[in-house]
Amino acid sequence: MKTDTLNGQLDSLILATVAEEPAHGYAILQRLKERSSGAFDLAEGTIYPALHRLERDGLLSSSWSTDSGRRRRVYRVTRAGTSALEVRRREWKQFTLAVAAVMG
Amino acid sequence: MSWLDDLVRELHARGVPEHEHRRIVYELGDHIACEPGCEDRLGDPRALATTFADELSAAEAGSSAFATFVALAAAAVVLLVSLVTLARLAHYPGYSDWISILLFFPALLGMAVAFQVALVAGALSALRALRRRRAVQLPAQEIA
Repeated sequence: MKTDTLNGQLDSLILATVAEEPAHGYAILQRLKERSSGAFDLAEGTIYPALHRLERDGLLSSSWSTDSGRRRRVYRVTRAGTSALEVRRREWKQFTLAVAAVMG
Repeated sequence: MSWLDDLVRELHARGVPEHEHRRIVYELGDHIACEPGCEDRLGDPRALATTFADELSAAEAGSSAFATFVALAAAAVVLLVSLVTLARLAHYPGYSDWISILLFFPALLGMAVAFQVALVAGALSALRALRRRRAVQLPAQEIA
């Protein structure tokens, strides 16, 4: 699945992934790949602008941690992010049901 | 030159602020360290730098609009207080009283500054709106 197909859904996918457990960028990407069985073929760098945007919007928060001598930014979902994720999940279910009803 | 060096150069070229710049490089550097040789999958450094710059510019444009609004509101309050103070001083207790003189000059200064802030903020906003009235999307360098 190419990045274009993911447009508009990447933020929701990231929120859902980080909601499971706080993680850094690379780990988030790995989880996304695992859970989608490798279906999301996006340029890996694109996840970082999305993470920064979600943080600016107050849906994610982040802090530095040090692991094996390397500094890494760990992201977690905020309360606003949890609420937003619930709304997006509901909307997605309605959307897929509607598409399925039309497509058969 | 490495992928990360290219990204650093492109971020500089697009005027991404230093603190954001450092954070991006740390994060992408950590990503590469997690899986050496994954640079190809990270995408084009130029495109990635452009995405970062555009998103930051869009966020800053929103903050600038809010700051302009706050500046105009603050100018209006200063103007109102100054006008009321001057109006009161004109009647009682009179210009010869030292408290009146003490209040008169800050009020006058407040009026002068508030007028100018309001004029400059309003004129700049109007000018930008006029220049860009047909643009669907503002270029990053325009709103940064």
